[in-house]
Amino acid sequence: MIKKYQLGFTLVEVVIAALIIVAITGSIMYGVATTDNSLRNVELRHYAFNTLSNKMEEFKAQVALNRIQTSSDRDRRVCIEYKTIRDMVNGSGVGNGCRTIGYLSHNIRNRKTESNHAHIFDIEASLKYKVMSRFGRAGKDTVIKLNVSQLVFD
Amino acid sequence: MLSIKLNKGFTIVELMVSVMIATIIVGGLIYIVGESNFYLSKQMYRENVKKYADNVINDIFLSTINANEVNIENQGQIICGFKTADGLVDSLKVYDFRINQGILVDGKPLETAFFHNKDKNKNYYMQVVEFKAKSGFDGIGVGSDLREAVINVFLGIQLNYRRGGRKVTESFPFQKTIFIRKAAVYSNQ
Repeated sequence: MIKKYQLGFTLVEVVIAALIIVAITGSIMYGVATTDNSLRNVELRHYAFNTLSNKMEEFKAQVALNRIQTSSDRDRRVCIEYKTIRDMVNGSGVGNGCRTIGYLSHNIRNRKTESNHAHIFDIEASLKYKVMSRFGRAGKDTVIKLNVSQLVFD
Repeated sequence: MLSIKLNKGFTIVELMVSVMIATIIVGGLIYIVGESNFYLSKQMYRENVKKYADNVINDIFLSTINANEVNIENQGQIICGFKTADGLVDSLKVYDFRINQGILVDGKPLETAFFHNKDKNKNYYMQVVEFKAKSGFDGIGVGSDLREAVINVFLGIQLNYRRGGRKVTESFPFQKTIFIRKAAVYSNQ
């Protein structure tokens, strides 16, 4: 009697093994891409918050000194991240030196008070910017907001 | 007589293939561990730069909003003057910088911020390449009081570290706009 020995793997076994390897590699790559983008988004949020708080300082000065330039504005382009230190110092705005652009909106309102010598101003400012999508492209819009009330005496 | 040849163990081809696979897997693992180690170190270096810049900028912010006079005339220097009740300037706080020592307050390194300089570790160190302040509102049509009350502080830090034998340099720009509540700013810009 001749016994036939089958050495090696069947096609089904090889395909299953390949699928498992692809699934493991894919999930590792997905995890790495997601972590990388999450870190970048945290960094962008930090830059956006700094830009917004810097703009808020300007608005507070305008209100305190009664030199309000524009009481309301929508989607003004501002640079939230510069490419180099020199670009930042030269104030290259939203030109070539800007890596990430944001859109600033603000509204300054004089709240009605009973006093003739004191005024309360409500300053609302928001900054819209694009967060990174999973594979490194600019994705959906994110908005951060800051509200400040400022008391001004005549 | 029936002779049976028994093949026990592996052939040389099987051994070589398994050794190659093992080498690839171990090599890949070593690469991944090395990369993640480097990545973690790099993130730590970056965090240290940001922490240093945050501390410096906070210190300058607190000094300038409480100062009676702020002078940004000299490039690379911010001078805060504090007055007594009779209106005389009785103390000064001078912010200055040295490329390898960081930001100095009255000639001494800032106590609240740790600057990793070249002398301590040649493989990882920071350098201050830019430090200046200028008026926040430039241009025609802006009142002089507004121009003098808002300053922009710029701080540029360069981070240097090594990857293998290669030197890597990264630049970090930081900016803080400060509305000086009490101060009269003397600026020639």
